[in-house]
Amino acid sequence: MTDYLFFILLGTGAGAIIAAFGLGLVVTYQGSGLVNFGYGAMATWAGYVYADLRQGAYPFPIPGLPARYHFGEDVGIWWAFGLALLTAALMGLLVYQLVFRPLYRAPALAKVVASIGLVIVFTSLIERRFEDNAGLRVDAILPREPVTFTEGVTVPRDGLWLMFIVVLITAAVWASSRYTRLGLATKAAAGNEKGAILLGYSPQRLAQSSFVLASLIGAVVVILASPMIQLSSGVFTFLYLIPALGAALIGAFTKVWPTVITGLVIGLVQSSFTKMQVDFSWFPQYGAREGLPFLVIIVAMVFLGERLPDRGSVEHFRMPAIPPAKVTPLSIIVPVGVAVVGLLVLDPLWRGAIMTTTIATVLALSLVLLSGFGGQPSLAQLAFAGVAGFALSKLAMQWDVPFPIAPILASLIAMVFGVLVGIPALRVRGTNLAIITLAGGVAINEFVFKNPKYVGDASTGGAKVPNPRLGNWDLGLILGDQASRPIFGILLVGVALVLALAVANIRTSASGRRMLATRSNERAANASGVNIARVKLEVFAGSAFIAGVGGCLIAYRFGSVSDASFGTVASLTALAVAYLGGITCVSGAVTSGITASAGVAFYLISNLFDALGQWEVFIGGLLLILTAILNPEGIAGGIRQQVAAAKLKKAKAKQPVRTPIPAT
Amino acid sequence: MKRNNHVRALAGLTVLALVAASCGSDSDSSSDSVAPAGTDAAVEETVADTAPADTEPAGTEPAGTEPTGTDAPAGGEGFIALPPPDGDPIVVGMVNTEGSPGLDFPEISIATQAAADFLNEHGGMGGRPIEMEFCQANGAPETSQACAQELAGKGVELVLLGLDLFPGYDTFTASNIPVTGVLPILPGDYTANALFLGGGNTTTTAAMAAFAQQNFDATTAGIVSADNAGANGTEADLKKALDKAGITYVSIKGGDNETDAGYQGLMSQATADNPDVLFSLYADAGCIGTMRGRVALGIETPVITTAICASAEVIDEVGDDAVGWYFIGSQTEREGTPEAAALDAILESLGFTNSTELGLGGLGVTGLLSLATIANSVADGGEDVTGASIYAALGASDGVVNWPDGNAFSCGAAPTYPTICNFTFPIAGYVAGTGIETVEGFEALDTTDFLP
Repeated sequence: MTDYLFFILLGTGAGAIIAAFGLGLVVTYQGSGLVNFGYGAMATWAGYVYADLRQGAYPFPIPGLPARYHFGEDVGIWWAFGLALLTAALMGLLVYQLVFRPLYRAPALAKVVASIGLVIVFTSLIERRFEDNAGLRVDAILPREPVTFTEGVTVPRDGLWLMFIVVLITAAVWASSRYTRLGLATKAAAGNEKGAILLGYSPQRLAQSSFVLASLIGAVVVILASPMIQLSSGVFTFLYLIPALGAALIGAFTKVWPTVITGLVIGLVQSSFTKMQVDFSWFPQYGAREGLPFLVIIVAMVFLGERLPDRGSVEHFRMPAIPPAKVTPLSIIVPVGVAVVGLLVLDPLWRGAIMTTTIATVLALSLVLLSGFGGQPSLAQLAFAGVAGFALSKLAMQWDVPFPIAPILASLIAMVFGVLVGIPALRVRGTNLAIITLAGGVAINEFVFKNPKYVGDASTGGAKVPNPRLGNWDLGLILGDQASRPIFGILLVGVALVLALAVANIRTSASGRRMLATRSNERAANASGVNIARVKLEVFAGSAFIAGVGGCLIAYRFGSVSDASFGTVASLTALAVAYLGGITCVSGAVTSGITASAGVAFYLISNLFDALGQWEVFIGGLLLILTAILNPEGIAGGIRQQVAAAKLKKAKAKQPVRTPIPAT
Repeated sequence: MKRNNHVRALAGLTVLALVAASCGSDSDSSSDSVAPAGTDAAVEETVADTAPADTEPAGTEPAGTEPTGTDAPAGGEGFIALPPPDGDPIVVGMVNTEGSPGLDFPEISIATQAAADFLNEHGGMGGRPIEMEFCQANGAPETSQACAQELAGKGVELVLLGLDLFPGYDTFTASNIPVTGVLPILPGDYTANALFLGGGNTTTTAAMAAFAQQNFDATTAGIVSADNAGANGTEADLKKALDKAGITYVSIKGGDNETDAGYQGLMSQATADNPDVLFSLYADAGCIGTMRGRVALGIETPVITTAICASAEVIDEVGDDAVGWYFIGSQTEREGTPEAAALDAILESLGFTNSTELGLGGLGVTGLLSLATIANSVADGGEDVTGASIYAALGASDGVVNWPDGNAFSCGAAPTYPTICNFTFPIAGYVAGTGIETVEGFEALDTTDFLP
C-alpha cells in the first residue's frame, strides 16, 4: 500500500493540471454555453509568454510585426508572471469578442469549428515564434525539495503545491459563483438566459467575463507547471485538455467541485498505473494510461445521463437547417463528369487532388448522415476510418480476403465500433455526446492504434494493403510503371457516387424521416412512436460504415495504413471541414471535399499559400474561423441562402407595382 | 535542435540525433577514445573492464561490415581537396516535411542545400554538379504522394528522403527513380523499395541489447518507454533483441509527456527488482526527466538510451546527472580530419559554429555526402555516375563506405531488413566534467546477431 501511496502522490502535479483545465472549461461553459477546444492552446501561449519574458523578451503574436520586444535581460518572476497574466486576460477578451461573440446565435457546431481554428492558430503561432526552441523549460517557481511522508514515500513538493493552489482557485471560483453578484448572474444566465436579460444582465458581457477568468486560470496553471513539464506546442493543447474534457463531463460542465475532483483523480490514477501495470496481469499492455480513464467516463455517462432532454436543450445544441432533398440528373452528372474528365485529362498532381476531394467527400458523407440527418455529433469519425483501414490490411494481407469483400467486411468492423461509441447517445446528447465520442475516439486510438499487434511493426513492414483487384482487373493507383492510374480515381468516384445516392435516398425514405424527427424533437418523435434508441444506433452504425469505407479508400490509395492518418486531431479537422462545407446535405459533403486539405480548392490556391510561406497554417486557421463566422451554417448553406435571397428579389421585381388609391 | 514531440510520438524517432552527433566525429576515434570515468563507480568498472575480445558478437559477421576506413578518411584527402565538378548536373530530389504545426523540419532542406553547395565546389557527385529539387510534404500521405509525383515529373535521377513520414515508394518505383534515405522511420520503411544509409530504431534496439550483454554482462533489465505507437513498436523490437541476448526484462510504460515526478515513478518501478541495466526509450524532455529522476532516487543502475539524449540541449540541462548513461550512436567529437574540414565549411556557410546546431539538418548533410562518397567510388571505378549506378553501388555494398565514419555499407546483410545498409553503431557514455566520450571497444558495434 505504501508503494501505491508513493505513485499516487507523484501524480498530484498532473492531476492538478487536468483539474485546473477542467475548471477552466466549466467556467467557460457556464458563462458562454460553449466548449472551447482551443482552451489548452490559449493557456500554452500564456506559458510561452512567461518563459520568453524570463529570457528577456515579449513575443508578438501578429505576423508582420517584429517577432518580439527585447528587454535585454530576464524581467524577473513577478513582472513575467504579471505580464503573462495580462496577456492571458487580453487573449480571453479578444477571443470572445472577435471569434465567439459573432457566433453567439450560430449552431453549436459552428462554435466547435471556430475553437478548432483557435487550436490551429495558437499552435502554429508557437511554432513560428519559438521555432528554434519550441521545447522550453523554465526555472522552478514552486518549491521542489522532496518531502517525506513515510519511509519509502518521498516525493517532490511542487506537485503538492500546485494541487493546493488549484484547490484554492476552485474554492474561490465556487465562492464567487455563490456569493458574488457576477457569479450569481452567470449562474442565472446559464440556467435561464432570458431571465438574466430581464434582470438587466448582458449575457455577452457575462460570457466575456467567463472567457477572461478561464483564460487566467489556464495561464496560472501552465506557468506554474511549466518547470515540472517541458513546454511544447502539444502538451497542454491536447495532452491535458482531453482528460480535462472528461472531468468537465463528469461535472456536467456546470459543477466545479466534481470536475476538479475528477481531474485530480484522473491524474492520481494515471500515475498509479505505473505500478499497476506490473502488479496485475490483466492490465492492458498498451493504451491504458490515456484510454482507461475514458472508458470509465463513457460507462459512467451511460448510466448517469438522462434518457430524454430537458426542455430547450435540443435548441441549445441547434444544428444547421436541412434543405429539401432534391436529386436531379444534373446534380449527378455535373460533379461526376467533371471529376472523371479531370482524372482522365489532367496531370498526376491534379488527379491526386481530385482523389483527395473524393475521399474527403466520403468522410463528410458519414457526418452528413450522423450529424446532419441524425442530429448526433461525433468527434471520432477518423477513428472509425482507421479501424477499417487496419482491418482491411489484416483481411487482405493475412487472410487473403479479396476485393471488394475485404473492404466491406472492414467497414462492417468499423460499424461495430460506431455502434459501441454510439451507445452513450441513448442517454447523452449535444455537447456532452460530442465529448463522449471524442473519448471513444481516444479509446480506439489508445487501445487499437497503439498496439503493434494490430498496426504492425518493422518486422511486418507496418500495415500494408494490396491493390484492389476484380479477377485479373487491377484497379490500383499504381501498377507497373504507371504511377497515377485514372482507373483508381474513377473507382473512388464510383464509390462516392453510390454512397452519396444512398445518403440522399435515406434523406427521403421513412428511415430518413424518423432521423429528422428525432433530430428535431426527441420528445415529439418518441410520442409519435419513433424508436429513438434504434434511430440513433442506426445513424451511428451507418455513419461509421461510410467512414470505414473512407478509411479503406485511403488505405488502397497509399498501399498502407498508419495511425498518423487517423488521430484525434484528424477527427476534429474532419468535422470542421465537413461542417464548413455543409453538414446537412450531400452537396455540402461535396463542397467540403473540394475545400479539404490537399483537395481541389487547396491545390488551386497552393500558389497563394506558397506566397504566405511559414505563416500558411496560421492564416489557414484564421480563415477557418472567419469562414465559420461568415457561414455559420456552412458554405453550402450560405450559397443556398444567397440563391434564395436572389430568387426572392427577382420575384419581387416581377410583381406589378400597386398604385396607391388616392385619398378622397 | 528543434523540438517536436508530435512527430516523435508518431514515428518513434528515437535515433535521429545520432546523425547530428556523428557529424564532425573522427573515423579514427578508436585510438583516441576515452572510457567514461564518471563518478558512478559501478559503471566505471564495467567500462574499464571491457576487453575487445569480449566485444565480438557471436556468429558469422556479414561481409563488408568490417570498418574499412578507420585509418583513412572516407574520401582520401576528403572532399575539400577536390576541384569543382564540370559534368552534366545530376538532379537529386528530396521530400521533406515542413510547415505544419508539430511537423516542421526546414533545417533538413536548408542543410542539404548547403551540403550540395559545398559539393558543387568540391567534386560534386562523381564529377557531376548537384541540382537539388525539394518538395514539401505536410505530414499527410496525400502530400507525400503528390511530392513523389512532382519529383517524378521533374525528372530527378535519385531521391534522398528528408523527414517524410509517408514516402511515395510505389510512385518512385513506377517512375524508375531510386530512393535512398538516412534513417527509416515507420515500419513500412524497412521493407520498401529503397535503401537506407542508417539503421533506424530496429538496429538501435539491437545495439542496445548487444551493448548490455557485452559491456555489462547483463542478464536482467528494466525498460522505460512512452505509450505511443512509435515507442511501442520500438519497445517490441527491443524486447525481441533482449530475448536474443538472453536478457530478461520488465517493461514500464509511461505517458508521452510526464511531469518530472512522473519520470521518477517510472524509474523507481523499472528498478524495483534491481536489474543489471536499464533501457530508456524516451526522447527530449523524457531524457531530462529520466536522468533527473534517476539521480533524485539515488539509482546507480547504468542506463542505455539513444543518441537523442546525448544532444547538447539535454546535456546542458542535466549536466553531471547524465553520469551512468550510455548513448547508442554517439561518439567522441574530433577535429583536424578532412571530414571535420568539410563539415566546418558547411557549418560556416550556414552561420553555425558547432555541429549540434545542425540538429536534424545533419540527416541531409550526412546523407548527401555519403551519396557523394559512393558516387566518387563509382566514378573511380570507371562507371558512369547516374542515380541508378549510385543506388546499385550502394545496394551491392562492394567496398563503398559512409561519410563521415568510412564504415563499409552492408545492404541486405540482414535479409529481414532488406532496406538497411548499416548495422554498426558507435557507443558513448557521459563522463563527468568532460562530456560524451566513446566507450573503448565499442567504436563500431555490430548488431546483426541481435536483430529481431
